[in-house]
Order: sequence, then structure tokens, then C-alpha cells
Amino acid sequence: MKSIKDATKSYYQQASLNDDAMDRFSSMLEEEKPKAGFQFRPQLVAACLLVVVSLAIFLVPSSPQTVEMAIAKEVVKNHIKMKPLEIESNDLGALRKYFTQLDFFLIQSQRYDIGNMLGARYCSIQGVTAAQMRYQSPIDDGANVISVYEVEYDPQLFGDIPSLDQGLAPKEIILNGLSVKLWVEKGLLMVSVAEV
Amino acid sequence: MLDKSQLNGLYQYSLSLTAEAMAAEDLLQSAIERLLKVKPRPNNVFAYTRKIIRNQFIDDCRRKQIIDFEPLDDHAPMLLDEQDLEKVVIDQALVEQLLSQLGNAEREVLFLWAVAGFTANEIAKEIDAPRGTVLARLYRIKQKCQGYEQQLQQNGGGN
Repeated sequence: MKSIKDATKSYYQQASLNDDAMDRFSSMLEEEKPKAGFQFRPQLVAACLLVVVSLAIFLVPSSPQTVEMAIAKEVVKNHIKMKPLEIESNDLGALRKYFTQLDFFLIQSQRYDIGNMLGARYCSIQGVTAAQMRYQSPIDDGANVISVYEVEYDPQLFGDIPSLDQGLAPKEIILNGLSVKLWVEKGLLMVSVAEV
Repeated sequence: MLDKSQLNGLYQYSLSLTAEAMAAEDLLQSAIERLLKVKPRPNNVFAYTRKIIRNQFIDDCRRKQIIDFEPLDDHAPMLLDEQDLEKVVIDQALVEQLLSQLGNAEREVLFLWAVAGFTANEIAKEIDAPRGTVLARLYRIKQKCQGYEQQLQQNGGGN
């Protein structure tokens, strides 16, 4: 028997983030390291330049392809986890009422039939709050589901993504047995995950 | 900004609110996303993020129309002080079951007292509630803990 204080402390302290989650959160925070007050020191500037040049040479740069692959990995992982829907509806109005925390106006993609929508939930893409819609696949008697993510499109963050509005076809990445398609529609980045 | 130990600490706090690992992870993620939008950075990022987590959780409860932070009536019994709870003992193996008997508000107060090491005054300031409310919640925790132990003893005696 322990004091309730010690027992509670032991209980919670044994709970910890798994490696994936820890890495994900650490990277989100790494990208936003605060800039300290700057004092001009030539040696410091030279050291910083050396680090920057070394990183540029030795690290994989944030090229559009890398960002697309990072997005694809993130959405595939999310799709496979199949977290519970927060709202079960195929009514766009109801979804818009629910998603009050988004910084954009939720749209219905022309690539999917809202009649097949099962519902939606909050998620994020590369640290930006997004909406994940889940559709019943129109083939395979609806046995499979399709995840469609919507997020505000920032070309600087997400790179150059083909725009449906300009008649371009989505970019496709096959990953872990799934087809990931990325496109821009009405100013939003749309990402779908479905069986190949 | 937040090291791994702090991230785990915030995760554990989220877990005290949500009582579910994946929900706790989601809550922490939402909080970090919000934190990254705050400019300039707060002085105490850890404490600030904890507040974001709490506010986000309350918003989520409101959105889902879940009443988890139920108000206490003015005459609710309360502990004299948090030291009263120090004397209560429990089998480690039963902590999880006890926590499942507590409401979210009670679990939060228990976490802040037991894990974060806050006094009743500090908890009151943290959750922006009167000290009496905190002591009343600690009283409920004590009652539930003692009631739970008694029930187990009775069940064990009946076998």
C-alpha cells in the first residue's frame, strides 16, 4: 500500500509519449525555436554560416518533393490509425458548424460525392490544423474508406502542388500500399488516401 | 522550447483530463499547434502550454456538450487542507480503477496535487477556481478512495 499521492504519481509518471509522437512534437517545436536577441559577433556569424552551409550540403533540403513525401507519410499514418470520427454526417452545413477551429472555409471537393461521406474529425498536416473527411469507397461495395484532408494551402510550407482549378491532375504518391493524391482546390490543399 | 521531459509531463497532464491515451496525444498536439501561433513566446512555456491544454479540453467538452467540470454546490463538504489527503493509502494496482471512478475535474485536481506537487492554493490559482472548490474536490477524491477500498474489502470478504 502506498499513499494516494505516491501511487498517483507512480501511475502517471509511467505514462509517456511513444517514439513517433515524441519525434513529431519535437520536430514541430524545433521548427519554431525562438530567436534570441542578436549581438553582432564576427566569430558567431562565421560559425553560424559554417553550420548553415554544412546543413545545406549534408541534409536533405526541404524541397517540394520532400515536403510532399512528408505529407504523404503523415496522412497515411493517420488514415491507417482510423481514429474515431468526431462528427458523423454527410451534410456540409453541419460540418461547417462543427469545425469552428479551422482557419479556412470547409469545401466539398468535386472529386468526391458527399453522399458517400461518413463524417469528419480534426487533424493536422505538418503542424497546421486540418479537417479529415472520411468517405465510403464507391467501389468494393463500400468495404473500404477514403480519407480526404483539407487544409489552408501555403505554397511556402507545402511546396508547388497541382491545382485542380487550373485543370491539372493531382500528384500521386504510392506509399505503404496506399495511393496518396495531392491537389489544390479552391485555394485549399486537398490530400486523399485510398487503396491503390 | 519544450524538452522531452516537459512534453511527457504535458502528456501526463492531458491524460489526467482525457483519461485516454490517444485523446491525450491529440489534445497535446492541438495545444502545441496553438502554442506555435503565440507571438511573442511566453516566459514560462510549460505552464502556458498546460493552460492551453486545459482551455482546449474545456472547449472540446463544450463542443461535444459534455459536462465534465460539474459545479459544486456552495455547501459541499471540503477537506480542511490538502494534508488530510496525505494520510489516505491505496494499493498501487488499484489506482487506475480509482481514477476511472473520478470525474475529469477531480482527476485534474488529483494530478496537480500528486504529480505536479501543487498546494490547494496553487491549484486554485492554476484552474482559476476558489480554494474551497479545490478542497471540496479533494474531499470527494478522499471519499471515493476510501469508499472504493471499503467496497473491495467487502467484495473480497464475500468470496
